[in-house]
Amino acid sequence: MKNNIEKMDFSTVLASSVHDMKNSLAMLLGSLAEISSECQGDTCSIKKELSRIQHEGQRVNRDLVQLLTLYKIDQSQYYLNAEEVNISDYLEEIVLEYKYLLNERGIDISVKCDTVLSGFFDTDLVSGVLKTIINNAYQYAHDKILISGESTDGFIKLSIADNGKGYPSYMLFDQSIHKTTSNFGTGSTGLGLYFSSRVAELHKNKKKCGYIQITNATSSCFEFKGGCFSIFLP
Amino acid sequence: MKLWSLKNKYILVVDDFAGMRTMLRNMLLPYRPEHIAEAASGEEALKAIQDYDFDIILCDYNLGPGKDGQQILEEIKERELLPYSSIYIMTTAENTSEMVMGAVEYSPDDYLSKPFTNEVLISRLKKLLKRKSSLKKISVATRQRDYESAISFCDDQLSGTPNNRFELLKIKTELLLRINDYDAVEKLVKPILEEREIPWALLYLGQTYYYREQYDDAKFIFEGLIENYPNYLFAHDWLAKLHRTNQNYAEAQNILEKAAIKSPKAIKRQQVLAEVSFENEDYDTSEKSYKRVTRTGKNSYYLSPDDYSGLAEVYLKKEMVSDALNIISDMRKEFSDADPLKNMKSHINEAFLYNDLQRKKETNDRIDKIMTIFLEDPGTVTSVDSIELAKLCYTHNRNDDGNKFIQYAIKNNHDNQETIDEIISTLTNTGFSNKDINALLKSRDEVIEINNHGVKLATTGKIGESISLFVEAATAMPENHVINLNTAQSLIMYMNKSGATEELMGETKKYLDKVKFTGKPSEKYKILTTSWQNLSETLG
Repeated sequence: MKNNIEKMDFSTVLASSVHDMKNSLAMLLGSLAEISSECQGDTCSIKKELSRIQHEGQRVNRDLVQLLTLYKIDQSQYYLNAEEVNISDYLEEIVLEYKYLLNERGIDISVKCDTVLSGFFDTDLVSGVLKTIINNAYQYAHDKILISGESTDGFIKLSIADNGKGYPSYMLFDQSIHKTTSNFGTGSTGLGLYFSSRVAELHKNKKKCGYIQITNATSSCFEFKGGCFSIFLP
Repeated sequence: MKLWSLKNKYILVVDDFAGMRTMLRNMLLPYRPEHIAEAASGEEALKAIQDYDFDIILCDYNLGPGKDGQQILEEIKERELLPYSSIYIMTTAENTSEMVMGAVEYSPDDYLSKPFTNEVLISRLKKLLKRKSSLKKISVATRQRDYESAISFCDDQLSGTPNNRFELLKIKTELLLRINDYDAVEKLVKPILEEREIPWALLYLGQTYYYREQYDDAKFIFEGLIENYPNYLFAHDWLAKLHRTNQNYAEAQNILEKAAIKSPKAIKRQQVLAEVSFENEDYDTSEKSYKRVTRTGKNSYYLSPDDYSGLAEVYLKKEMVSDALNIISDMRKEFSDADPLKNMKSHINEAFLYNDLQRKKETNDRIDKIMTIFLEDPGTVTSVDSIELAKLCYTHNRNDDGNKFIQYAIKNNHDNQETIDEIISTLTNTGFSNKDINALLKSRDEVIEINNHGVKLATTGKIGESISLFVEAATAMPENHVINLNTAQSLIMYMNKSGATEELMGETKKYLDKVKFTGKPSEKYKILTTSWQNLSETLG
């Protein structure tokens, strides 16, 4: 008998699986949000657990998006969709999504940005980056996270700083470490930084190319003693 | 402090997943919208949109079998089912950039990537409602085809420090293209490109070169775009168009084939590919493309009887007569219940195909059918088709019928010398004497007479009589600009005196909308639309 099964190419399989998983996750996270909106105040004993589940759910979602995006970039199937963005509105919206969760953990998150600043980039991709970094900050921050946007030297610089213990020195020592895959074993930070630098690199304008930078408590970021991540977009 | 709310807003939620619809409803309810309707499929959504003017539509991209979110958007834009002030948001579990770059004719106001939180949804809605109102003046003027005012509104906003500068620049460029002001487009777009290489800016510059017949410059730009943005399918469409204009059909076909693979659902592109490969005498590809159009385009707004007759012509070229006959009968079935224009078009196409097949009886039967409908409702035949139909009638010795179509074409175009010349040469080629031709051209004087009479009635206070005369004339010659404008004018004069009503306003708009322009609208049109707008404000 002839084998009639047509082989699907892997990116289609991947895309449709991710699509399906994201739909389920959307439902899951939606229901969770409803449950947690009923679980207010100190009388609710499972509040902490709930917010932990929400956090992990969002993390799975972001990992899925990263996975698919990285695959597409590697297959040269990803095409940048750069558009005009009002930075302050954009950052506020990202913060909105996290405010509740972070506040539950006792972390205060705020935005510092000139309201007329605008940039030009692929919001899907850059949101993926910022959310991943906020996710890390969720784990490492002591009680503060600051997101900021500014224009510097023909680049838009978006930074996320926290007042935790900062990046380990070996990561700071070699700023190119996030371009290699050898660091993935240490958890999501390595993959996140690798993803971020791939995204930054995709952004080009007039021979300028995007990049990322990580620092600890230096003047280039904020008053915080902790980690600071910046993505520079031309 | 006044709290932000969705008060008075009609919202439609479209998702094939009931759980998702409920979730969205729960997110919106606290903001007290007037009404939230739900639809589970594209067809349900379109039906709802026809019945209500929604302020906000939240539509999932992937709706299972049937139309997807993008196709719904296309249809409501093409059919103008939605007021300009409405917001269309596409919700999606996919990454959105692929859809955007998929070169869609129409973009939604925003994409929302699932899963999204309540806060994000509300913050987007706030922003979009604000943006819509900031672009209101521009949209109103554009809809009235008052492009010059729309451009000056853009300039007003650009002179401040808008945070949507590029959006305004894009709108302004599109408006300049509509009035064929290519020098202004070039002057506007070049500095933008100095600042940043933006695909749309390049595309519009390329179009400008194309229209100025600087084909090499246009080609350079389109090819560059395709190389740097392989998913920007508009660039493919334009490069193919350019090759087609220069009669490089093979090149045009090649480019469109690449673009079509990336956008299997885009009916319009598939239609062009079918036509181009026919011109390129690649009948296999043409057949495949036409088949894809008739298959994936089922129930689509874009599907036309021409797609069926195109396929039938391919079969004739391939000498597959029985396939051609099958397609003719498919066409008849597909469009028998369609709108009157598509239905008529299917009869016309049938007549020409039977003529190609040299089946005299069937051809004449079709012409009989066409004549019956035409005499009752002339608006079903376009002037372009009527000239072709006249030729067909003359070859079948049906001179009386042929003359009716010719007179119809003349009346519709009485002040359009180009069409009149085309008609004269058609008649000359058919063997008409100068005397016969001049007799037919008398229809022109008739139109002038009717028009003058109508104007006189209106200016001497007999507006009622003027209206009925013009309405009758506009039915007999539905494409005639002068008559349509004067019909609208007499209605407006009546309403200025006796007050506007919804019904008369709609009627007036119908005549104004029939007037087509290439480039700038006429002064008279502008004056009438302004009066119409003023009247509509009295209605509130």
